[in-house]
Amino acid sequence: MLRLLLVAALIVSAPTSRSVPSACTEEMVLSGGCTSATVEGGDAVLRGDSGGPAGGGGRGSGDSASGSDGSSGAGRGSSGGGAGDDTDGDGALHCKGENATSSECAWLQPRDGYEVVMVTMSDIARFRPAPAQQRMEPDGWVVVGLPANIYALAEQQVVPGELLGSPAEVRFSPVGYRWDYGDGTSASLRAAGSTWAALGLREFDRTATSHVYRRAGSFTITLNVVYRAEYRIEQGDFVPISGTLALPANELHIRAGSAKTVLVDRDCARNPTGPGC
Amino acid sequence: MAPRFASDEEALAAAEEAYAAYIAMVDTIMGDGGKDPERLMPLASQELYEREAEGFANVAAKGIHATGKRTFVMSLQRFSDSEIVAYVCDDISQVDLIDSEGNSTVLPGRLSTYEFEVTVALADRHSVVQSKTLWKGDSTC
Repeated sequence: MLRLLLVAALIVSAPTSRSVPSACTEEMVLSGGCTSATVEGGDAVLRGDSGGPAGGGGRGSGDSASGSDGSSGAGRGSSGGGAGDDTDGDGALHCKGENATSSECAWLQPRDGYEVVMVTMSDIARFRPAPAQQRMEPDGWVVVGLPANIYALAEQQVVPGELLGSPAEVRFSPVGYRWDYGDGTSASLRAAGSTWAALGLREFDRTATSHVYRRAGSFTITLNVVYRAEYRIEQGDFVPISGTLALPANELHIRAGSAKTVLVDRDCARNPTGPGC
Repeated sequence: MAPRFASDEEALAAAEEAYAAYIAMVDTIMGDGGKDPERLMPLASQELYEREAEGFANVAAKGIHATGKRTFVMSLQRFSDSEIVAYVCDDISQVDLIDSEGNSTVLPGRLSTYEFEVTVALADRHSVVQSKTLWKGDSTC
């Protein structure tokens, strides 16, 4: 039975987070063997990264959720990665030499006698992961002033190909989500978000990736998923590549309307935790 | 039962205290050329200690040692009564790894700051750094 219910107070959700762990020892960090990511400018296309581990990779916007109701805990924004002025090239180190493995190469000195080559985002431009998807609830419509739960479906992907003349794989890991809500606001978040049900929340609860539209109208939501990339050659260890790349997901076309009532699919007796109950 | 921390600030302060002790000991051991790594045990989880001990062993085997101290800036991600998760920016620009002849062994591409996600496990008497992982996403350092 459908019933109209007045929506009462909103419950602020607990933030969620996504971690992208990498096991670097303190020694590797100090040695310079741990590659950190830099932020690209935000173009919605796959492209090579001319920025090095210490040099380029443009500065990202420093605002986590400008103009939005973005998360309070997890969704910190980007502010650019690399510092310094590396002029020795960019990308991850990969060593060639007898008895050299990728993991060892990560912090070998060039003078140790190995040929060190750099693999960059440009080198893996032909390795293209499948596009991510974004979803939202309610599906396709929102109520002005209430959170719309917009979330991304993006998974780690391993794409086979050829690199440096050898069979190789590139592993793409989503590490950030840049949403443009079409209403003049945007957010750069680390959280992908999820459904209200999966988060254990009630409909119209705020989430780490929800957004509140402040005016009625039709809007197009665009999402760019930021990936970190690693490569491996001939079943060796995966080696991180400096920089990130941003790939567009599908667009969502939505309508935001003003309403003082919300249509829900169950009454409070059947769904005591529903909105307004 | 009252929550362990009354505010974000209290939780952050507790995490900073635990991490400061941890990182100070790391710098000390690195400064000593990787000697006596077990000094880190009271400040780190077993898993983290074992991982770092390998790095200390590498330092000792190479006959290198660190000079200088790092600084860090921490920001809170989330916390509970049992753990605190925070983002940490380590500034290692003043830290060098040098060999016995005083030559730097640092790779040319090393950054001056690295961001990590750090988890501090809370105990009754003292807290330890449970995990420390390099943050490979958009850095806020």
